[in-house]
Amino acid sequence: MKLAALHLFLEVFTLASFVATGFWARRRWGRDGVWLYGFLFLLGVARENFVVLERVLYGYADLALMLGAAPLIGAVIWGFSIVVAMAATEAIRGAPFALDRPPRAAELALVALAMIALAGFYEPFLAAVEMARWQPGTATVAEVPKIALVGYPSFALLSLWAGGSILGRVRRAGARVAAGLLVGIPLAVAHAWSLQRLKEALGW
Amino acid sequence: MRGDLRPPLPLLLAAAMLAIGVAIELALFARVELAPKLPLALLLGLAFARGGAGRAR
Repeated sequence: MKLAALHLFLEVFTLASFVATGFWARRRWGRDGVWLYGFLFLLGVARENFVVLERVLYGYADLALMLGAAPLIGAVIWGFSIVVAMAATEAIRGAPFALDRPPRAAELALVALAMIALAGFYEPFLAAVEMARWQPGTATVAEVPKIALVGYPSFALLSLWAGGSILGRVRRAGARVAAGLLVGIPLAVAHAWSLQRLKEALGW
Repeated sequence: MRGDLRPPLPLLLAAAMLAIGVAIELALFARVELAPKLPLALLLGLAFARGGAGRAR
């Protein structure tokens, strides 16, 4: 009961952070920011539903807020985290993050480092409060699953590369939504599937 | 001219999450695993420092 209340608090706080960050993205990057944030949300929903339905990588505790088969917190945490990584990259570089092109190498490197730093915080914490459980025997380093140190940055980089490519090439709003759906869902599913295969191949 | 020195909202929310995580670990386990949190704390600290300096120029 105590853990259930804690889980609900974390779910609501994360959801509120996600919504607030969406408004921030709109103010910071305009309509492109709204589209990218929606794209990241779609990727999160697709990826976490695939993870739960196909029982790859990790599972979740019974949580209150769901979206399809996956907990809402799992779906929204990706978009929130990637925008945190982008905001940190902008602040550290002192240069704006252009959304309508694939990110530059320096941007990708900083986003990747930020995602690894976020994984270092999220993963041990989620395990300690029993919100998420990786497959038994998952290899860890400093309490962080090794495969998460690959998965967090790679998902962010693929998402930003795909999102930037669509925003740079597709101008009409309807076509952007269609492109986001056509590219985003397969990308999210392929990422989780590939990560599971890599985890098995490496014995992690 | 002075710029906007406020840190970006997502970074403030990430810092709040980190602080909540530390508080929950202290409340539940009476101890905090600092090592895994250090990279994020350093990253946020650097972003806050560089972000403020960048906008102030």
